Amino acid sequence: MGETSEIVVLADKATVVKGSWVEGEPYVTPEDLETVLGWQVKPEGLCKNDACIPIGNSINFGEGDYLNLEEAATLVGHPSLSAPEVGMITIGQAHDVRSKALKDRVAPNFTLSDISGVDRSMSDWTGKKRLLVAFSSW
Amino acid sequence: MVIAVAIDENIEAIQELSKGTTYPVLMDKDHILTELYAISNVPSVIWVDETGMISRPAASEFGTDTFTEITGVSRETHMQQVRDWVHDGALPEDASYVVPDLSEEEIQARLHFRLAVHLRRENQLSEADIHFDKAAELAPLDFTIVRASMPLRGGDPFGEEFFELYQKYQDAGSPFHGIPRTTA
Repeated sequence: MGETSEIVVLADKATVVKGSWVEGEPYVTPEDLETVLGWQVKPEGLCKNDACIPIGNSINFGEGDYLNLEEAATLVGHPSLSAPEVGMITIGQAHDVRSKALKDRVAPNFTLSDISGVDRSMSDWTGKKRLLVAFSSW
Repeated sequence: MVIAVAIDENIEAIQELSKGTTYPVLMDKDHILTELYAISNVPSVIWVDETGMISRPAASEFGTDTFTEITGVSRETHMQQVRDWVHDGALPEDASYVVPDLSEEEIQARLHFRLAVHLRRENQLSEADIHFDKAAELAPLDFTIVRASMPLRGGDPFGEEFFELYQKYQDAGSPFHGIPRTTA
């Protein structure tokens, strides 16, 4: 196990956790893994609500008390990108959420702050017809 | 109702653009929406019904006719379609179009872009550049990657580099994650 350092995890938000880099991959505690990924580490595997995904014999998953965050993200269907040279990992949105939007027409929920800094979610306006307009200044 | 989401880092510019609006304007600095809904350019408009189902997927629609000559999209056509949908639930034929999923390269490009904007905020500019470059290499015709990064790298999103990008995009057959347009 390498030295402990701070790892910046860019998931739904940016979180700094304590962890370690082994062969270019970030290892974090089970508690931090749950915080950033939303999946809990249990004897059955990685669990969320009633669903569990067995860790099985994924190689290099655990290192002492630390778990491979990149491997865990892959197991639960999120793309990720590790950048050990800057101590960061980016975890993207789950593949199946986008696929449900495109194929099954289920609009993914999201929470973002408005221009006054107040958090707003798409689901705040359930019950209304909504035009979701993506725009920019560029 | 309209929910406007700025795929943008520059909150001052968005606040300025949003003056006088009565609908919510949200900031998506990390381009989460481009991942969740497979968006590759702005403006993209998605219709979502009362129950949270997508009635019409992403399409380029404009609030004015400023670009009609270039885009072949008229404001009034869309406004009438929206009225018909709101009043009678009627959907235009193109609403059934299935938007293609992001490719593996487009997904990775978004991760590099996300890393780059974070590094830029932390003032690690040369590291940010590496990942902006990587993102543009993976998704060279994606406006939410290439054009969005221009002002973040000291470039001009309305200048020469934009016109070069637009030319390359047209030469490639205008690949876009949304309802295709038959334009001149």
